[in-house]
Amino acid sequence: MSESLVPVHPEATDDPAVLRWVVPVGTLGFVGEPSGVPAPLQDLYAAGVLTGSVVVEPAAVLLQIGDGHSWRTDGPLVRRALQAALARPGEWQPPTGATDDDLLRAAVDEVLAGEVGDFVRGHGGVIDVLTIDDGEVTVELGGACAGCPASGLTVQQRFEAAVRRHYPRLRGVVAREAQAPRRSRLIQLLPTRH
Amino acid sequence: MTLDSGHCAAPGEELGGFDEQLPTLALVGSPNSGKTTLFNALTGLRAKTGNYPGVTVTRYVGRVSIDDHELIIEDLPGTYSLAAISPDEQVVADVLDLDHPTLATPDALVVTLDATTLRRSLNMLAQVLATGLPVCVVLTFTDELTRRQGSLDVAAFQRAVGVPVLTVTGGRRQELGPLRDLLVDWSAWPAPALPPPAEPAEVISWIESVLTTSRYVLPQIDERTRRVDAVLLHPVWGTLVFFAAMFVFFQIIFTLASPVQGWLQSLFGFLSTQVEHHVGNRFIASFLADGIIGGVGGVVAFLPQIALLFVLISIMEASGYMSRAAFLMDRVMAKAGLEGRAFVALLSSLACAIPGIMATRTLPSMRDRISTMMGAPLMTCSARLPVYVLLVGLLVSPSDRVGPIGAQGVIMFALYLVGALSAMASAWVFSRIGRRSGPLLPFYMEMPPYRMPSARSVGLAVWDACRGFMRKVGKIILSTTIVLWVLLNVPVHSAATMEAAGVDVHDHAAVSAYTIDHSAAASVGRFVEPVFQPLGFDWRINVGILASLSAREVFVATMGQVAAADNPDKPAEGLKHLTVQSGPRAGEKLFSPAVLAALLVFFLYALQCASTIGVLRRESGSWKWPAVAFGYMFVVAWTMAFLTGLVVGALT
Repeated sequence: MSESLVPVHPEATDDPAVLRWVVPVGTLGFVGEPSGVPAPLQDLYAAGVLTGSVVVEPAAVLLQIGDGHSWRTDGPLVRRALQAALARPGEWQPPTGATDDDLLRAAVDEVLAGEVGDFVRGHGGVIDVLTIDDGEVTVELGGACAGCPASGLTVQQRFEAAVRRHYPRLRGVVAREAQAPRRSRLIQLLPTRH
Repeated sequence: MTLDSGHCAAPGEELGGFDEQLPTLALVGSPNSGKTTLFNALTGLRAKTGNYPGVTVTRYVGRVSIDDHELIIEDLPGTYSLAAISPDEQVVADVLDLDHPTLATPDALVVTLDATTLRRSLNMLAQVLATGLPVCVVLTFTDELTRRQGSLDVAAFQRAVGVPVLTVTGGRRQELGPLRDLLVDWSAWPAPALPPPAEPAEVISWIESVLTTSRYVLPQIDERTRRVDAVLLHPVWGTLVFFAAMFVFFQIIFTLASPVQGWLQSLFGFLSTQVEHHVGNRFIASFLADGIIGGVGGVVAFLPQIALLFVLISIMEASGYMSRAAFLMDRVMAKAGLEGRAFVALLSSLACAIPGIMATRTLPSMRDRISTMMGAPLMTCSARLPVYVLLVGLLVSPSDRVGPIGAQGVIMFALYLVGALSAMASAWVFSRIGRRSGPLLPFYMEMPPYRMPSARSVGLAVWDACRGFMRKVGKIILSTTIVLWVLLNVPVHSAATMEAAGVDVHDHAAVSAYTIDHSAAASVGRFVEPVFQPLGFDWRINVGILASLSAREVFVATMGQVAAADNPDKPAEGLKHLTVQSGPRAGEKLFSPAVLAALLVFFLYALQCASTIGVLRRESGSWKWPAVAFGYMFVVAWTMAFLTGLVVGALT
């Protein structure tokens, strides 16, 4: 075997012209639309095989196939170009003014839009992101999460672990409960003495 | 490793009866991926078997009706890759090749992936997706993945591979429902926007990425399997357990199957008596009673033993023990300069030498193939079982014991053991002749975790084997028996000739005995007498041996006919009391211990099987090797039988 390639695989999106190329987390240190991409990819844009703009997500690169081209015929070409480009992460130019916290924010958004968000919403809870500062995420737990004894577990085992998968340099997650927490229903049923 | 369920079915049968217009879905998957379990669960027992044109790889096709839709499902041979090495894999590659001239490509493919070995299986999935045919994936053994602390996000996996993914564990009914609905919709299955790459480094990258995304956690090595293997794969304990298991099995054959065999024999005895009483024409009565019932019935009576043999073989295989047995023996074989693959071929020969000889196709070197082929027919195949049971039954009675253990089982075990040792010795000798010294190629064998064999799969294997046995009885054995009956009953003697010879023409038994003694078959048997005289065989045994060249079971049928002429009610009793007609032993019992032992040993070594000779010819490419095999086995059989006869004769 020659050199080992960066592991990638394409997934379909709602737009048949756009494929989401799943790449290992942390391959590129930024999110958004890069202001410049390495030569192998740039050549394909110049040739019209690719069109539109590159969108970088924490664990994916979205590419759009050009008019008159198809993924089925030109896909292998794009695959090789993308892998060559991913092997040179230093040659990708991040969007101007982008910081590491933008990457973290994208990771958090992805987690909340995905499985962990589904889980929380399914239990009637709400997670609001308050601040993202220097690798630390502060969230507020609302809805059914507020006052729920299992919320700490959810934040730690599900949310934090998922964010860390997308952003390994995460410093930590701070959870704050929403103002005026309601007492749990069981306690409300008990007689209160004032 | 797959043991063919055994029977020497004629290759090249056509698969008729299915409407070619129906959509065809093919099951693709690696060996042991649960593909056949899924196939059986989907099609039930309505499967047809045949062969792929040109090669002797069995083809399984079944019909499924779901709601109002009819589908044809084909179970392709198990394969790890579409880059073919063995004939089995070549069949899969050819079937999936859209441009292949003779094989029709299926309309869609169902790929079974063993969730516990997903990394390896994805390589094949990548190749299958590259064909561009509609594909859906069925994940199997997900229960085992969970039990062994592995995990997989199935939804993410489906997104990553881009085709429908379902999990079906062990063909469970509730999981089959969604699969059946999906199968009907095969034309609407989504295709991946971009098929996986073909270049090796890119495939590795694709597999890695898919597994990471689906958060695949590799299952731990099964703790139960590890603990059990510590004993079963141990050079000493493992070997002891292996032999103990075999030993117990041969005891079971006699204690469990014998009563059923007894009932069958009584049934045939009753039928035969009824025929004698109710059919007026003497010739037709003799043909039905002695020829058909005495001959074929005599063989059918061994059905219980055949069924039990295949219960054991299929339990050993389905539980994962067969691979361990092969692994254990590999060490022994390696010392002799043979490889483990050769033992796999020999092990397959326990069912029938033909799948065993086929299995030598996995051997990369032609010399190793030939030497294994020369040994395989010595393994005790299921066709020898009826002969052994009959002769061992005559040799020692069921009540005889060696210590606390039944003597019949001990002798049977010894026969299997000697057969196996002789097969290995023979393979070793042939591999020595003109061998170029070269390194042994590495031998990979999968050690599947121990799995509880499902009653259904064991049942199916036994059913297949019994059906194969009955088909053989119906074709080869029935036709040979009819020819033999004719030879045993011509020429026809007039009453006057018989009276002149002092035979009471009103005594049926006496007339039959006279007819057989002066028949065409008797002349042939007497003609070869000089060859077998030193072994103590008379012309009746000779006729049996000659007839058994077509198939070994025919020996039992012949003895049945001969004995039925003497004692129509109880052929088994008749056999016991046959006496030698001429020569120095005249008047003594024909089946003396020395003769029985010599016969057993003769059948252990002799290549009495036309089908095996045919397969040897086809697989080795010339008549040279079948001639060598037949020749050397006959010489060894004769010599060993002679020596055994001498030793047993001296002891008794």
